[in-house]
Amino acid sequence: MIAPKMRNSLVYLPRQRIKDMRFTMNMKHLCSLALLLIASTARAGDIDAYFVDTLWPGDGEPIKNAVIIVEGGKIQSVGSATDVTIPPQAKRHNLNGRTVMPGIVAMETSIGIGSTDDERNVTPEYRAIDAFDFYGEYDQYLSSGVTSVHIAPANRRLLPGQSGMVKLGKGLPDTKRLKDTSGIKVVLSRSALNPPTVYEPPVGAVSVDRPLEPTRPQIGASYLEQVSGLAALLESSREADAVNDARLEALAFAIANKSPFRIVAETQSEVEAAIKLAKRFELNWMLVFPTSVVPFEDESMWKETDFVGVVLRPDASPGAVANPAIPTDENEAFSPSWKNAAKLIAMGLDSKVAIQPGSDDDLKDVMFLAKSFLRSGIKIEQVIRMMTANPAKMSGLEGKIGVLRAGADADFLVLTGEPLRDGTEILETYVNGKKEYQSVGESSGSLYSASAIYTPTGVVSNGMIAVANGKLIGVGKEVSIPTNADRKHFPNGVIVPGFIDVGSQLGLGSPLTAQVGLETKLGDLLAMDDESIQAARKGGLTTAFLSSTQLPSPVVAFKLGDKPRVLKDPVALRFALSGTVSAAESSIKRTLATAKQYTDSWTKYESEYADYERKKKEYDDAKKKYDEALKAAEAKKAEEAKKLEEAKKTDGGATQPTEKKEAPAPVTQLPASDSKPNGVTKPEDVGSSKQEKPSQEKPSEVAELKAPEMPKEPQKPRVLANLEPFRDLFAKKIVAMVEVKEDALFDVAIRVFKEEYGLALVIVGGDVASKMVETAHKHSIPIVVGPSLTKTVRDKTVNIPIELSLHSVPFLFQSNAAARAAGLADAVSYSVYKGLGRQVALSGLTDRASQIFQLGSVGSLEVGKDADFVVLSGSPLDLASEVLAVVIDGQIVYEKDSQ
Amino acid sequence: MKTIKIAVCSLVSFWGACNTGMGNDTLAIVGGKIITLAGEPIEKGTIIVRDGKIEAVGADIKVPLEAKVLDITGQVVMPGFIDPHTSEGMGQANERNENVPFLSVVDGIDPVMEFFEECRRSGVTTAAIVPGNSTLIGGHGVVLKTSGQYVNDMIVKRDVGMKISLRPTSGSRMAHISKLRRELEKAKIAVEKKNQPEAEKGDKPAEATGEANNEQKPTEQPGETNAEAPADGAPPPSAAELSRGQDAMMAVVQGKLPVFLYCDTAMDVTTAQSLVKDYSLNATFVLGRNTYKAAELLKGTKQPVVLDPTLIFWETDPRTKKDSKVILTKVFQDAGVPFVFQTSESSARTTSASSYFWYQAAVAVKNGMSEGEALKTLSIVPAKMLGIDEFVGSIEAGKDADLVILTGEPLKLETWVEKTIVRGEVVYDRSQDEKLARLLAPSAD
Repeated sequence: MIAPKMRNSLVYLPRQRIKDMRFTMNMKHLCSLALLLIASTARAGDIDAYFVDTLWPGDGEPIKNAVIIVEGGKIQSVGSATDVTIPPQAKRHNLNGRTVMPGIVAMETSIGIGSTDDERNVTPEYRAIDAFDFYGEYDQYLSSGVTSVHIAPANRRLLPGQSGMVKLGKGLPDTKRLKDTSGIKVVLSRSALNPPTVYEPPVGAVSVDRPLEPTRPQIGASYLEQVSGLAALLESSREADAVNDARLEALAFAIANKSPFRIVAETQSEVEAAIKLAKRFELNWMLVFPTSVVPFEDESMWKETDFVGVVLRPDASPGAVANPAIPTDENEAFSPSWKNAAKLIAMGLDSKVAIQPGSDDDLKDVMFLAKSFLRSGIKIEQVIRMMTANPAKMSGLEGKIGVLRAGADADFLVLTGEPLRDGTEILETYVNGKKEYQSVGESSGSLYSASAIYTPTGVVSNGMIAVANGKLIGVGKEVSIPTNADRKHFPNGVIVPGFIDVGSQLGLGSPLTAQVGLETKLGDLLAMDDESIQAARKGGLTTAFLSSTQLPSPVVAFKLGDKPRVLKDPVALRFALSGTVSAAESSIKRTLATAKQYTDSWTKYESEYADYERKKKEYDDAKKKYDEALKAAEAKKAEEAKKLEEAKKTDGGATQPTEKKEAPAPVTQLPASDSKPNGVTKPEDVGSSKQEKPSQEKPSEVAELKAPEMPKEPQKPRVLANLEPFRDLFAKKIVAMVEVKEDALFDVAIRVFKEEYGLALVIVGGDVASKMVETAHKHSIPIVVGPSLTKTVRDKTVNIPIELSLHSVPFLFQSNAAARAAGLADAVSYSVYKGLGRQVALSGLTDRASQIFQLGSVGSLEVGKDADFVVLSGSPLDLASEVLAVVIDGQIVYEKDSQ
Repeated sequence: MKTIKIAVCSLVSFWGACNTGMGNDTLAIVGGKIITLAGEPIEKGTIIVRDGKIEAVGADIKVPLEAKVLDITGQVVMPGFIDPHTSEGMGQANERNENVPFLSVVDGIDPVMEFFEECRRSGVTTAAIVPGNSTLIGGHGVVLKTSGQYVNDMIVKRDVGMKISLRPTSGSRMAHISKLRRELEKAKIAVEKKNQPEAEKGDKPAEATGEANNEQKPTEQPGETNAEAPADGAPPPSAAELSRGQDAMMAVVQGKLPVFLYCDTAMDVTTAQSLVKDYSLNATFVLGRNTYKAAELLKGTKQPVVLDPTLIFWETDPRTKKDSKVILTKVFQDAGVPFVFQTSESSARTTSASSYFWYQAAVAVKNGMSEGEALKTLSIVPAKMLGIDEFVGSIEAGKDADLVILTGEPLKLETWVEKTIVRGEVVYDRSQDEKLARLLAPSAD
């Protein structure tokens, strides 16, 4: 390994021995490390197979539907799920919808070693690895996807020491040690000029081998000094008879062993100096943080050198206004790093460019910062490569880290989606096959994405739905993502609003066949663990109506969550018209008439009461005024009496009577401003007017202010519980659902409910309605169809929804069933198959029902509404589509895979 | 020996009035329970002490006529406690200079310091006094008896070990470690240089010498702890080198001179282990309390580790802000790492229970250690660790008569140290302890 030139020049020198020893030491170390890794690999048995949607290998194109086989902390094989043979004993991990990429390899950090500057400017013998805290807390970096870091000593010294490579995470230090030394750091940039905090150390506690030696002068007051000093150091390290000096030995060792010199050089002149040094001393070298790559344009300059690569610093800052270098006189050739990257790649250096944020703090956002490189048209693969495979290669760890391929360490990240895409989160970080980080924290919501979402404004393709607290907080192509969102991705899924069944027998565990009073709150009776509810919602139902089969009955609307939630109780009153026309009509008329009377009595009372309230308010105001006035009058009276008394005491009785007689005149004229200028006798004037006023006003006040009369409260009508729901019915707050079985009764229903009483009417009976479409259309009466959507007329099958739709009659659906309600959508799909418009059919199951019954918070996918929706594998109301998931109030109540 | 007697006599003289015949050379301790730490405890056993050594110990031993009999019926006698690592008893724990391998604690010992009195009061008869932890290479430690007037009379073992600390004294950790490596490297080269002439005799090609020597493990005979003696034919180190402690460092890298390697944090343990490997150090790990995270790494350590005096403490997780209790004895016991205790410094001595060895052992017992193991940790384990178990550490015939007589079972809160005996002489007697009496007297003033 030692350069031949040196071997010739050295006969015997302890220095060479040190080198040899160090080298063998390193080799030993590496061997033991390798042995250790082999040992850990040999500890077989634990094989994990991770199935992912997309895999970015770090050095190439992404692979779809990939699998990674991990054994003993190493990747055994990786590739498309169809190509890779999965060992039978492998533990399978299904990372559906997830993307995997290699752990990020960060360059030039000082993570875990602190950044204390030494008191000297040239300390190449220091090793960063000695200061690395293997037991430190690195979760913040692991959570940002960084699994391996290059640790380098502080930046404000010319030769601050040797850097190392380690992995982050828990586990024994030996499993995390990648390289004890990975090059000598050289800082040619301004930050090392006039090295801060370097001052003459006090004489005293200097080391024992030079007790009285004066402080050695420091290199680095000027740029020239820096470069020439560095050259001198490198030169003397090559001298055969170099003194036994740790610093020179370290440099000589690095040169001899082709250990890279990591030269931090920013401006063009610094970069040029770096290239020249590399050439002159045949350095294996790397350029760190240049803001100019102009010197590279002349290939003859650097082509012969042993050039490892360039580390570029993004010009952006996470969440802040960046402070990048700007072109100055000194640095005319400045250009942004993304342009530099593009230039270097164009020169064929695509495997020699790495990205590294300028500070360890920014490392947490390295993925975001890396996006800036996309500006110059660099492909995502290349940008990822610059964060993973390239830095690994530049650190001499090619194939071990930074790539996902057989034989490499199992260091990888699990992402929610494509890397560098906005909103993509890191969910898990694996180091050596062990999960070192998992995204935790209180999830503030969930995010669903699918290939199509049915919204009131149209179908959004490849859209998202954000949910928080059971409500929809975003629907569309790009929505704000809740922090730590639980993400569900349905690549081919179609999301539609949850279906509404406006007539079911769900909710009580068994059908309700008893006669119930109209005042009954059925919502209070709903059962908690109704199995039929669980069955029904598998068909996409999220809201159902319940009423008794014995009509009339109240109807409740409720959600089919694990705990049924009442949406509106009652939502309607359900009546049945049967028998002969006249009997039916007179019967229903009687019912309604009684109810109307009752309602009217209440309406009257209410209006009277409102009137009373208004009057009461007036009375209260008047009373208040009266009381105040009375009080004021009394106060004035008292004051007057007092004044009188005082006046008597001071003036004597003589003048007062005359004043009193004159008094009325000034009072009437008196605006005070008039009397002010010539107010010689002002005190007297004022005094007299004050005395006079009460005597004038008091009688009038008392006369005017009569105690107001208290209004009388109207009498409350008697409450009749069974008629109470009719008040809402007549107020059109709830709907009258009328079951009609015969054509003639259809007219009765309209005549009585609609025309006579002007109620909100929905007719249940698609069978009849399909014959009465004209009437229905005329009065625009919504029709509830179901459970059967067809009927046979003279051997001809009539599809009722289609018939209604063709005549613009609005229609809704009911199942009239319990568990079998799950099939409602499938039933409707037959009509769609037969030609019913998909949108209009869907509307009948969702938003139209919500509108007609004034359910408000359900029926459509709009921001602010309840998060009730169904994920389908294809078009809605298509028998070919299956239900993938059902969400009610933001909770997944059914999911296909989990069953 | 003579001077010791004089010293002991003078110490003894002020209570001699009531204890006639204490100057006797033979002592028989009878009637008490003997915890020998070399076998099962002996109920109502007898220990015969002659000329400062234990002559016999057992249940049925005849008391010689000339012996002064010390009847300790109802009490318990144990081997005197051994402090495995302390930096007290000298004027100052560390020099300002951080690289002083040539210094020895022996030169800094002040036998009249309160520390020694306090040791005797709490039953400590032997202490390894080692330079403090604020250093790089801090100098030689020494093992002393805790009773004596002149330091030379107290010495049990010189050159018990070199203190090396991995905690940075100033500047960065890597600078500190770098300096340390450099010193060790220098010593290693010096050792090789010394061996060079031998190697060249063997007709080996000159170029291969370096590598050959590296492979070759130190050839010197073991057992000689002082590296000053010149090896055959090798040039002796120069006076200047010697004055810088070169010899001591050479002994260190040859594994001849043990090292007390202080690790402040868990990360230091990693570094320490690589140093031990690279320079074949014979190291005893002295651990700061945060090293517990690296307990797993210390599994299989030859020597027991020296635990921090604070055995129980609370730690706050930086991320979750949750507090968790760390019990060092439990962590190391679970990791299978043998350990010995330290006590906290004298500044905290009167207020903190952790300044007593029996308390430290009791903490370990409370947290899962067997009582027998815990008692051994007080005496025989540190004796073996320090290489002085030939003389002390258990009650066996032939060993020094360093004993502690307790009023009851050890590790019980109500138990007192009744008497401490060093080399057969009673050096502490609770009934004569005026300071203790004054401290415990209710409102004496």
